Order: sequence, then structure tokens, then C-alpha cells
Amino acid sequence: MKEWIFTTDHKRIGIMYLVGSMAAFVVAGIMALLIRLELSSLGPTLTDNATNYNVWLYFHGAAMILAFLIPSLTGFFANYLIPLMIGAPDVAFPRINAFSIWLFYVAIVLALSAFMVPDPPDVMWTGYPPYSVQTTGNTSMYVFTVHLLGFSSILGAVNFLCTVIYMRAPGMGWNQMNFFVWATLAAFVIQLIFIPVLAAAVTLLLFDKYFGTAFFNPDAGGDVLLYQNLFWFYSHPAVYVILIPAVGVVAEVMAGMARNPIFNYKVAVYGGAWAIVVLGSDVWVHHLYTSGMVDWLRIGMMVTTLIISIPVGLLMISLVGTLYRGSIQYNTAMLYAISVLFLFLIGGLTGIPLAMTSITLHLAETYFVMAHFHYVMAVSATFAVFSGVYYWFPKMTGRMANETIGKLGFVLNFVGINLTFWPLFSIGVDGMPRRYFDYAMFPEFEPTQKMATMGAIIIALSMVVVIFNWVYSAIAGVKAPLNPWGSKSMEWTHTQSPPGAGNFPTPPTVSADWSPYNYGKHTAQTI
Amino acid sequence: MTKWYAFAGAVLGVVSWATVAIASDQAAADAAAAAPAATQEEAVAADAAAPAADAAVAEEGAVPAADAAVAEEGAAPMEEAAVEPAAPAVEEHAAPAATVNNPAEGWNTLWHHVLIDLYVIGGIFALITIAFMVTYTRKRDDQEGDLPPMNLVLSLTWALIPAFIFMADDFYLAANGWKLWIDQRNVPEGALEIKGLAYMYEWEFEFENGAVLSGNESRENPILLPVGAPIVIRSHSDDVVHSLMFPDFRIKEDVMPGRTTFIWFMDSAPGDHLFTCTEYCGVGHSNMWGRVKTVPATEFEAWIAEKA
Ligand code: HEM
Ligand SMILES: [Cu+2]
Ligand SMILES: [Cu+2]
Repeated sequence: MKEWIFTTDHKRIGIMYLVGSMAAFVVAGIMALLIRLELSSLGPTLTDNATNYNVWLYFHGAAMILAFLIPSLTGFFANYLIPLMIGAPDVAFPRINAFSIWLFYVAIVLALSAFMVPDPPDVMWTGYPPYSVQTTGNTSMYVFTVHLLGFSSILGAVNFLCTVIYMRAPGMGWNQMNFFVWATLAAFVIQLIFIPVLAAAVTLLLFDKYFGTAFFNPDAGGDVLLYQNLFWFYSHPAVYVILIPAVGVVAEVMAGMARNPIFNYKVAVYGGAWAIVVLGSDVWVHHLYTSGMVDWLRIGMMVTTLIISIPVGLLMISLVGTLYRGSIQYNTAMLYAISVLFLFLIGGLTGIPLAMTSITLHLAETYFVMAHFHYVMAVSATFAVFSGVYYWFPKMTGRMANETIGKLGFVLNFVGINLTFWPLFSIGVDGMPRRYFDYAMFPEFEPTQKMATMGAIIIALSMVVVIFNWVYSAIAGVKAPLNPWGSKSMEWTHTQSPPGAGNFPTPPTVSADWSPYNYGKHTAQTI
Repeated sequence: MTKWYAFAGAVLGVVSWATVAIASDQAAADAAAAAPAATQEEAVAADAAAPAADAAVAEEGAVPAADAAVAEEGAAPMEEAAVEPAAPAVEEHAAPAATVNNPAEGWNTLWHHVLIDLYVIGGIFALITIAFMVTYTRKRDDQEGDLPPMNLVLSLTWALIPAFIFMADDFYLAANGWKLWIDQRNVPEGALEIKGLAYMYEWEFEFENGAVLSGNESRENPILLPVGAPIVIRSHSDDVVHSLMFPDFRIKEDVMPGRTTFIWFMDSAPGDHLFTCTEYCGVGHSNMWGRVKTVPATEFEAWIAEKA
């Protein structure tokens, strides 16, 4: 126990991130189940107090994004994999790394204690004023959770930028890095630039609510739209903090299981990931299409938002192209990864109408948006996480995850999410608003809502299977061979599973031809 | 090999730019034709000014490109307004409808085009992926992939051609989206003016003759509105941010303290519609809704006169 809590080893810290973020996922998932049960019939179902529903929804949204997806993608994967992929013994600042995991755990405990105070926050994960200032709910818990997680992320960002810049194995050029390393760098650059904006916004909220300032109060000269702009100035780029590493994980799994280089690697890095970092900072108003922003800005950001389809499309082409003339093996990790290609297609393409200002005047704040972002986050990014955990499971535990249970979990999972979220597109187009405790005005939507609830129950079941499989296989799985997938990447070729202290028995050096994707006749120069 | 790709790239590049040029040109022409006499801010200013000044303000403020349109389409209703400024007549509400595009119908049409676009792109990606998935399975345990080697030309070709295609599609969608946007955001002359007020948890609508109607009561007794006439609701909030959505009219806009925002819509045939709050506003958020019913203009005039 003690050697885990006080550890400065990046692999242990990584696994602690995984455990913490999966715990957040489970609690937030239980909230999702409560939400879905409440919606399964017209009128009050589980509770007759809408505030209970609103608190569940607040916790579900905030925890899924801030405590599950961002920490698992940039906390767990980055920590565990980056030093191994670049041939480094640890990160640049191991103690700062330990400090950031503590901050993360304190934040999770703070977020969870929302259920123990008499006035839990009910401000949704967006926390818009004036509601968040006027409510009797405890907005400060939301603000401090955001502060802690943000601080933890910034420390992580500085740490990993230094690690990748200064600690690559001797001889490793920039274009010889794994795509995942690039993807994480891009995500951390976004975090470093934009988190301070979010921190400022929520801090002003705190001042307005508890110290009587009026930054967002129009009666005293403030402006309600100021907060929304600051919030999305961070939170739109934040979806790329989720998306880019998720694509990175999927790309690694597909390259490993198809034993192929990532198709058009350099374009995926520079024209995909980095182009998104640049363009992604100029599109935040697409979250404010119906917020009363000035007309020309809404039209301008429609064009920038649509243009994001270019780098995202290039990333998709790289993923699909990686299968071309590959040697594909379908294990659980690959099933999750390859299903992301289809699910992200749904999530990404439904983003196109939402980018069009005039179409969104109707679709904003409906279940169409809800279904869209669940296909992107709850399905694609989450499946990317599961895929990565299965793929690197032998590396972390030295044992193979059980394939039969794994595939059973995957099938249940896949059926469940589509049953839950696909029907919601249609009632969204028909006008079902999100964040509704009840839908008395739309009684005709009840059957669809019921179907979604059934899907959610199947998802819950599948998660029991998945988590059972991980725990069971970590304890009693078959011993894993050194390189079970025949990968060329350094974390598999240069060290044992799990790697010991210092990571590599002998510090690796690489030649100019080496690449993590040297499958077939490829060298670093032909990728 | 190399030449073939370069040639294909050049051809596709030219084709996609031509598409962009044609699409945006078309949209610009339509936009110019549809541009109303005044921009929205000016229309608000005009509202505040004395009715007699209406026409003058509108004409002065108009952008040059829109002048022709004003002369052709806008002239008739504006003269009417000048002649008979007080107590808006039934005809006045009904008159412009013939020359005004109904944004909800425009929305439905554009939505249809967008869906086709999505199905085509999605279909192509999905079919290629499935084809690869079934073709390139592992045959021997030690088999490795056989992706052809990349070089600079191939790499750029595979970046630029798709980029041009995506960009052409983006501009096509943007141009059409903008066209609809112009209809949605420019309130036609002579629209029926309603003042909206939101507070936790109720809507109030004030009509031109001073009648104030409650959203909660409208669930039992729907608010009547004239069919075929443009209707504009300019709203603000007394407490937190709310949002006024008419799902059937494909429109919504947030309603907040400190600013006035508007939505406008019209109904082509008599019918029942609902409106509801779509910005989270606390415990009563899902209970902020009501009904409207569109009826012939004469019926509406009689009904609203009674409510004054
Ligand atoms: C696992 C099954 C899940 C189910 C059944 C589910 C269900 C729901 C439902 C029903 C709502 C909206 C309810 C309403 O608008 O009234 C919602 C909101 C949301 N969900 Fe999920 N969800 C799931 C997973 C996830 C995951 C994995 C994420 C992200 C990682 C996520 C992120 C969100 C967010 C950000 C919101 C918006 C909260 C808000 O409106 O403030 N969900 N979810
Ligand atoms: Cu966004
Ligand atoms: Cu509301």
C-alpha cells in the first residue's frame, strides 16, 4: 500500500490514474443509470424532486468528462506509455508527477462528497451564471473540483512536454516517435494554454456567488455571456484533449493488431493532430449559436468549425488506411478499436449539421446534441480507453486478459450503447430538449425513452463483465509472452512485462532506420 | 505512378475549387436578392423611432446591394406602414407572407440535403473499412502487414486531394447554411411584434395591444397566432438564462437578463404547436412550456382584441 501511495514511478502513477478514473466512471455510470430510469416513464419515476435529477446529471456530466475521460486519456495512458515508448527511465519530474496524482485523488474525493452535503451542486457541468450564482446548491464544490483537476493537468502537461523533448532515447528523431506520443503532446499543449481560462472563469463565479461581485450580473454592469465565452474558450479545445489521445490509442492498437505502419503518419501528425490544435482554438462560438451572440461571429465560427472536418477527416483516413494490406487479428482490443471507426463516424458526421449555425438554431440543446456527444465521448473515446486497456493489459500485469469474457463484454457493450443512443437522434430532431427531468409536453417520446433505458441496463451489465474480466485476469490470467502481439514498438521490444524499476534493462538507443512501425520491409524512411 | 497521382490531384483540385466558387457565388446572389431593407439592429432602432420615420430609417440604413430588393419587394409593405402607422391592420400582418421565405421550410429542405451529404460520406468510409476488414485478415501467425511504402508525393496527394474534397463540401454546406441564416435572422417588414418575458418558471407574452398572456395557462387555452403572418418575439429574462424554443418552427434563442434577443417564425397552415424552455434554469426547467395555435388572421384579431 505504502509503496503505491508514495510512489514516484510513472507506471504505478499511471495505474493509479486508471483506477481512480475507472472509479469515477463507475459512480458517474450509476448516475447515468438513475437518470435513464427516471426518464423511462412520463412523470416522476424514481424521485418526484427534480433537484435530485439535476444533481445526478451534474455529477454524471462533470465526472465523466473531468474525472474519467481526461484523466484516463492524459493521466493513465500518458503516464504509463510515454516513458516506455520513448525509451526513458521515468518522467522528467517524478515528484511533481506524484503531486499531480494526489491532487487528482483529492479532487475525486471532493467531487464525491457532493453526495454528503445537504446542498449538493446542481449547476450542470457547464455551471452557467446567473443560475450557478443564484442557486442554493453548493457551486463552490464545482469550482474547487475544477481548480484541483486543472492544476493537476497543468503539472502533468509541463512534465510530459519536458519528458518528450529532453528524454527520448539517443538517436530517436521526432518522426520516429509513436503517433500516440505526438497525440498526447498536442493534448497537453491545449491543456497548458486553455486551462487557465477555465480556472479564471470559475473563479469569477466563486467571487460573484460568495463575495458579492458582479462580473456576470447585468443589473450591476456585468454580462452573462462573458462566462459562456470563457467557459467554451477552454471547453471546446478540451474535447480535443479527449479526442486526439483517443485517436492516438486507437491508432496504436490498429497498427499493432494489423501489423502495419500508421497510414500517412506524418500527415496524421502535422496535418491532423497539430492542425486540430491550431484550428480548435477558433471555434468555441459553435457552443453559443443560440446564446444571443452577435450574428457575424456565429457565421464566422460556422466556417471555422466546418473546416475542422479537414484535419479530422485526415485522421480518419490514416486510421482506415492502416488496415490496407494489413494482417488483421481480431482480439478484444482490436474489436473495440475497429468499432471506434464506425462509431466515431456517427459521432463526427452528426457534428456537421451542428456546425451549421442555421441548422443548430433548431438542434441546439436537444437530444440530438446529447446523442452526438455521447457517440463521440461516451462511445468512441470510452471504447478507445477500453481498447487500450485490453491492448496493454499484458504489459501492465504480465498476464493475458481473458478473450472469451472480453468478447462477451464487447458485444454487450456495443449493442447497449447503440440501443441507448441511436434512437435519441430522432427524438432530438423532433424537439426533445436535454436536461429535462420530465417530458409532459412530448408524451409520444415515451417508447423511445424506454428503449434507451433498456440499452443503459445492457451497458451496465456489460461493464460488470468488463471490469470483472480485468480484475480476474490480472489475478488469475494466463502468463503473457514477452511480445504477445508481435509489435515493433519499444514498450514491447525492449523490456519485460511488467517493466521493472528504471523501465529498461539496458538503456535503449535507436538507429536512423528504426521506427515503432517497422513492419514488413518498412524503415523509418518509408512511413 | 507518381505522375498519375499528381494528375489526379490537379484535376480534383480544380473540380473542387470550381464547386466552391459556384456554390458560394450562387449563395451570394441569393443572399443579395433576399437581403431585407434593414439589418436587425436597424430594425430594432426603427421600432423605437416614430412610425412616420420608419421608411426613411430603413432606406438610409440599407446596404447598397440590397437597395434593388428594397425597391422591388419591400416597397409595397413599407408604403402601407407609412400610410397607416397606428393600430396594425389585419392585412398588414398577412401581406408580406407571399414574398417571405418560411425559415422552417428552409430548415427542413436543408436538413434533407445535409442528411444526404452525411449518408454519402459515411457510406463511403464505412464500405471501405468493411472491405478492408474482411480482405486483410491475418492468414499466418507470423504474417506482417504489407502497406506500400510512402514517399513525399504520395503523402501529399493523400493529404491534399481529401482536403480539397472536404473543403469543397464544407463550403457547399456553409454557403447553404448562410442562405438559410439570412432568412432566419432578418425579420420581415410588418411582422407581428410580441414582447417575451421569462422568469423562474413562467413565460409571459405581451402583444401590440397590451394584452399579456401566460405560458403556463396556454397549456389549457393555447395562445392564438395568425397563420401566414411573420411573428417576431423579442424577449428578455428577469432572473437566469432561459431559452425559447418552438420545435415545429425549427427555432430557438436564449433569453437572458441584460439583453434582448429575438426569434421570428411563421406558419403556412393552421395548426397546434408547442414552445418550451431549452436552457437549464433549475428545478422547474422541464416545466416551462405552453401551447400556441395558428388560426386565420381575422379570428386572431378578434381573439386578441378581447384579451386587451
Ligand atoms: C454509459 C452509459 C451512459 C448513459 C446511459 C448516459 C446517459 C446520459 C443521459 C440520459 C444524459 C442526459 C440527460 C438529460 O439531458 O436530461 C447524459 C448527459 C451527459 N453525459 Fe452521459 N451517459 C452515459 C455515459 C457517458 C459517458 C461515458 C460520458 C463521457 C465520458 C458522458 C457524458 C455526458 C455529459 C457530458 C452529459 C451532459 C450533462 C449535462 O447536460 O450537463 N456520458 N448522459
Ligand atoms: Cu465544441
Ligand atoms: Cu429552463
